[in-house]
Amino acid sequence: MTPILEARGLSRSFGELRAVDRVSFALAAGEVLALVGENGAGKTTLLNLLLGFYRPDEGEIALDGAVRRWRSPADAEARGLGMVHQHFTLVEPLTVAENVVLGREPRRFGLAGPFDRRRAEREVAEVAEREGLPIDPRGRVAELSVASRQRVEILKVLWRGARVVAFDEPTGALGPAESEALCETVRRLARGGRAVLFVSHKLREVLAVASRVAVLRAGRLVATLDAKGAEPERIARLMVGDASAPPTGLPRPSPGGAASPPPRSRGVDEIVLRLSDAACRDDRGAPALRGVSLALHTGEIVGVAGVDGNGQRELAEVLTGLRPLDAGRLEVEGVDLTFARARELRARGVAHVPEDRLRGGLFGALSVAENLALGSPGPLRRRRLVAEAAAAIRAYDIRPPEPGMRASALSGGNQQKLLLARELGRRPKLVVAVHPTRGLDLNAQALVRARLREAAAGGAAVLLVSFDLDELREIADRIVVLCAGRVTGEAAAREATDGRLGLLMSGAAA
Amino acid sequence: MTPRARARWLAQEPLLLPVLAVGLAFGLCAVAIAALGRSPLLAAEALWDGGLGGLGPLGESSLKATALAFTGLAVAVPYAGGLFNIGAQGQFVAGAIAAAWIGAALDLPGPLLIGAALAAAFAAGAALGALAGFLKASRGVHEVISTILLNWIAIHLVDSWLVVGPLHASGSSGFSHSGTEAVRSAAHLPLLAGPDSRLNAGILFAALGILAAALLLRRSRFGLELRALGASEKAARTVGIPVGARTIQALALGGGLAALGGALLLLGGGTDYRFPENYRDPYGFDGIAIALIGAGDPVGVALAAALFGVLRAGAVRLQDPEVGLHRSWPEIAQGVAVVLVAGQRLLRGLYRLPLRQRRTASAAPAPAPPPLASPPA
Amino acid sequence: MSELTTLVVSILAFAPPVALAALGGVLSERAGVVNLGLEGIMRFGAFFGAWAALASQSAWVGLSAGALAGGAAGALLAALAIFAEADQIVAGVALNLLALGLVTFLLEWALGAAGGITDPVPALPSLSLGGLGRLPWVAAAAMLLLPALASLLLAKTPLGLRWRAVGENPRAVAAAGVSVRGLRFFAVTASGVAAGLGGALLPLAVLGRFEDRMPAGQGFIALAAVVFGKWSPLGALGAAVFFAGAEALQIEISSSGGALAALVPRGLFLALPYLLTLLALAGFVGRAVPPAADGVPWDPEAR
Repeated sequence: MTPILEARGLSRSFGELRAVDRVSFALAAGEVLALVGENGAGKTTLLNLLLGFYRPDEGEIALDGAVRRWRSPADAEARGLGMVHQHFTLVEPLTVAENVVLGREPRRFGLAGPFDRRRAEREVAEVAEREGLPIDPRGRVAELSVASRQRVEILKVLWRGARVVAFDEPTGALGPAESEALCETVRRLARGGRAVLFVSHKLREVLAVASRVAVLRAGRLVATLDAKGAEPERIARLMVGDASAPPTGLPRPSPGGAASPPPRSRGVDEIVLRLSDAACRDDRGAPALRGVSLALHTGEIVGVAGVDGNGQRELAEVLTGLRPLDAGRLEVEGVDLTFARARELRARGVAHVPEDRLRGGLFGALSVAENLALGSPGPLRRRRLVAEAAAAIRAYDIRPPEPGMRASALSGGNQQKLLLARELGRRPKLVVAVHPTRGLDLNAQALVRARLREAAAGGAAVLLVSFDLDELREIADRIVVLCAGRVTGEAAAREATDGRLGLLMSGAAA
Repeated sequence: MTPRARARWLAQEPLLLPVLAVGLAFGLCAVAIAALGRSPLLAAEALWDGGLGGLGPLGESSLKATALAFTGLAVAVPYAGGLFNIGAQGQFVAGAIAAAWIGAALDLPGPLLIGAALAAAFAAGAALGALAGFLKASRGVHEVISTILLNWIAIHLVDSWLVVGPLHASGSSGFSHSGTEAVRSAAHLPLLAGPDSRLNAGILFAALGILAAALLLRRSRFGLELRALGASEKAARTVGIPVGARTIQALALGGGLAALGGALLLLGGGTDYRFPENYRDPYGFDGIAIALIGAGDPVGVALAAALFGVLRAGAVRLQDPEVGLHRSWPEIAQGVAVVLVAGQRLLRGLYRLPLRQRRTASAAPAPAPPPLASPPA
Repeated sequence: MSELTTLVVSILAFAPPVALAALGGVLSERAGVVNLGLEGIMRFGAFFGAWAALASQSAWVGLSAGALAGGAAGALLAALAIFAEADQIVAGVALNLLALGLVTFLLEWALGAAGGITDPVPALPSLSLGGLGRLPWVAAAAMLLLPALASLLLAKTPLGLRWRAVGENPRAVAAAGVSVRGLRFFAVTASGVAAGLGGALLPLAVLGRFEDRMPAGQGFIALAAVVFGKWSPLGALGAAVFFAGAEALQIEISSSGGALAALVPRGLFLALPYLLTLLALAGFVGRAVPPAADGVPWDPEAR
C-alpha cells in the first residue's frame, strides 16, 4: 500500500534544543500510528511540523508521494490534513455548526454577504450522521459536556475533508468510558480509510487503538513497533532510554512489587482532617460537591481519582479555604474551620500545591526569595529572607541557586521544587496536592512523589488529586473516587484495579 | 557580550526603555520644530530658562512637578498590584475641592489647618478609589471602567454643582472671582524662597511621598503582597493574601495620593488658592503618562514628574516672538513618549538586533518562535 | 406634546457623535480589543473634519476626512495593541494623550485659530423644523443607519461570525486558519472610522465650528454607552440616545428656571449617565458582561 503521508528526515531546533531530530516514517490509509514519548520528546513539535504550524529546518513532507511545503496550517488543511488539539479551540457562545464551519463558512456574496446558516447546519448534520458522532448542530457549545466538545473538534476536522487526522493527547480529560468511546471513534476513522496519528502517553490506550507505535526520545524516532504483541514495559524503556529508570505510567506487574514504596510506619494515628457532608458550588453556580465526607489521618496519603470536572478542583479549594462551603463542616485537628479563609487555614498548617503551578501557585515576576517569603506571614526582614531562601534552595536543590532570580525563569521542574519548598518547608499538618507531577519529566516526577512521601512520613496527612491512576496506586494508601460531586467509593491502593476504579468513576457502582 | 553582562543589561531594560522613549520623542519633536523652520536649540534654551532659570521659574516648575508626582504615584502604586487607576483626574479634583472647602471653612492655626485640609483631601480621593476597589472586589467591575466613570461623576458634581452651588464664593460679585472662596492665608503652604517665587513646601511633601511609596512597595509586606497580587491574582489567593482587601486598599491609596496632588496645587497657590470655575488642567490624566514614562517605579515617577514639570513651566517661554512656538510642545513630546513606551516592543526590536545575532551562542535556549499561522509583526 | 417633540429633536441633534463613537467602541470590543482611545479618535476626527471642511468649503469633504483621520488613529491604536503587543489600555491612553497635544498645536499652526476656536465651518445639510430650529438630518440618519448595518453584519455574515468568535476565543479563530491579528486590525480600524465620523459630526453638524476643548469627554460617554448598551450596536445606540435625552432634559429644566432647577443640581444630571452605567456594571441595573476575550491580548503561544 502506498503511504498517504511521509516524513523524510524532519528536523526542527529551538535555539540550542533539537526538538525533532531527523525523523522519518510513513503513514498509510487505514492505519493508526501512535506517537509515544516522554514530555519534551518532541511529539507535539512533530505534529506541528506535519500540520504546517512550524516549518522544518531540514527534511521534507510528502503527501501521496509528492513533496509538499506547507506555507501555513490552512495549506496543510486544504490538502486533507487535520488536527484535533489537546486544548479545545471552541467558541462557547456559538452553535456547534458555527464552530465547525468557522473560517470556511458557506456564503453567498463574499465575507460580508449573507451567511448560509441552513446549509452549514445541514452539512454538519450529514457528516455527524455518516461518521457516527451524533450531535445537534444547533446546540450551543457552552452547554456541551467535555466529550461532546471533543466531538465538535473531530467534526471540524472531518467536515473540512481530512484524510489524515492527528489527535494530540485526546483522552487527557476523559474518563475510562469516554476514552473507550473515543478509541472506538479513532478505529472507525481508520476503518473508513483515513490515516490517523495518535499522540498519547497512556500506553495501554495506545496499544488498544494503534496498529503501529513509534517511540520518540529526545527528538529522535528510536523505534517503530507493531502494536500487536508489543510489551508496555519494553516501550516504556525505549521512551526513557534507561533500563534502570522506574517505568512509571505503566500498569504495574503486580501490586506490592519491586517498584512499590517501603511500608509506611505510622506513629500516633490521629485524625488531621475531618470533612463532613460538604457541599459547594462551582464557578458557574452549579452544585460541585454534594455531601462529601472524608477523614485523613496523620502520616497517610489519600488519593482522589475521578474524571475531570467531578468536583476534585472544588474539593481542593474547599480544603484550602479558597471556596466557601454551602453546607457541611471542616475540621483540622479538631478545630472547626468551616468558615475560615485561606490565610487562617495556612496558619493552621494547611499547605496547598495547586494544579497550575506558574499561575496558580507561584509569582513568575517575583524572585525566588520573594516567592518563598510569601508562604508565611510576618514583617519582612531582608537579610533573614535571603538566608531562608538560600537554605530552601539547598534543601530542595533548586537550580540555578539564585535567590534573586525570577521564578518565571526557572524550568518547570525547578518551579515545582520552589513551590514544594514553600509549601512543605513549613512542616504542614495537611498537604493538598493537585496534579503535582503533571507536565514534569520522569526525574522531577519521582522527586515530587518522594517529597510527598517524606511529608507523610513526617506526620502530615496528604490529599493527592491526580488523573494518573498508576501514580495514585504507587504512592497513596487508599484511593477515594469522586463522581458528580459525591464520593462513589473507596479502595485500598493495592486493591484498586482499573476496572473497579473505572466503574466508580463512571458512577455505575455507587 | 557575555551571558552575565547580557543578563544584567536585560534586568535594567525595563528602566532604560522609557529613557530611550523620551529621548526619541524629544528627537522627533526637534526634527518637527526644525521642519517648521524654527530652531530646536532656541526652543531648548527657552524651556531651560522658563523652567529652571531662576527662583521664579523654579517655583512654577516645582508646583507642576509636585502635582504630577502625586498623580503619577496615584497610578503607579495600584499598578504594582496590577490595578490600573485611570481615575486620577477625578480624585485630583476631589482632593482640590476638599482642600478648598476645609481651608476656607475652618479657622485653625497654620500647620493644623494645612494638615486638616490635606487629610480631608486624602479622604475624598481615597473614598473615590476605595469605591472602585470595592466594586471590583465585590461585583467584579473592572477598575479601568469604574475609575473612568467616577472621573466624570466627580468632575461634573464638582464643576456643575459644588463650585457653582454650595461652595460658590458668596461675598464677592460672581464676575471677578468665579469659583470657590479663597482659603485662609493660614492654609497657604509656606513659601521657601521669598515672595517672588511660588516655590513652596509642596515640593517637600512630594519628596516625602515618593520616598514613602518606594519604601512601601519595596520593603514592606504590604508592598510585597501588592506586587504578588500584580504578578498573579490566583497565586495570591493560594497563599492567603486577602485579594479584595488589598485591591480596595491599593486603589484607595492611589486615590488619596492623586487627591494630595490636587490639594497641594491649590494650597500652593497654583490656582490662586481657590477652586476655579471650569477648572480644566488635566494633571490627573497626565499622571497616567508620568507613571508609564516612570516605568511604574516611584523613583521613575519622580524623575518623569520633575522633567515634565520643568517643561510645562518652561513652555510659557516657547511663545516668545524669537522662539515662535506653541506652548503645547511639551504635551506633544509627552504624548509621543507614551506612544513609544506603549510600543516598546518595537523599540526593543530596534536595539536588540545586534544582540540577537549572539543569541545562538548564549546558553539559554531561545523561546520557540510563534507558529506560522500568525506571523510576528 | 411639544415638549416631547423638542426632546426628540434635541436628541436627534446631539446624540449622533456619541452614538457613532459608541458604535466604534462596540466594533472594537466585540473583536476583543478594548478601545480606550475613543476620546482621542473623536478629537482627531473632529479636527481633521473641520480643517478639511474649511479648506474645501465642503462639509462632505470634511466628513470624509474625519472618517479617514479616525481610521488612521484606529490603525495606530491597532498597531500598538496588536502588533507591538502593547497593553490595550496603555495604547488607548497613549492615543488620547497624543491627540490632546497634537491637535492643540495643529489648531493654531494650521488654522491659526485664536482662542482655540475656528471660524464657522460649512455645515452638513439640515432640515428646517420651523419653530423647533433645524435638524441636521445627515447626522441623525447616520446614527440610526450605521448601528443597524453593523448589527446585521455581526449577526448574519461570515465576517460577523469571525468577528464575534475572535472576541470570545481567538485561539479558535487561529485554529480555523484565520489571522487573528488581521481580523482584529480590521476591526479596530473600522472602530476608528466610526468614532472619527462621530467626532467629525461635532463641528460639522452640532456646533458649527471646532473648539480646542472638543470632544470634552464625549469619547468617555461613548465608552459608558458601550457598556450600558451591553456591547451590542443597537444597545449602544439606545444608551447614547438615553444619555443625550438626560442631557437635553437637564438643559430644558435649567433653562425653564423653575423650582425643579433649584432642587436638582445640574451636576447631578450631567453625572447621571456615568452613575447609571456604574450601577449597570455592578449588576444593580441588569448585568453587563463583556465578550470573553475583551481586552486580552492575542498571544499565539499561550495556552
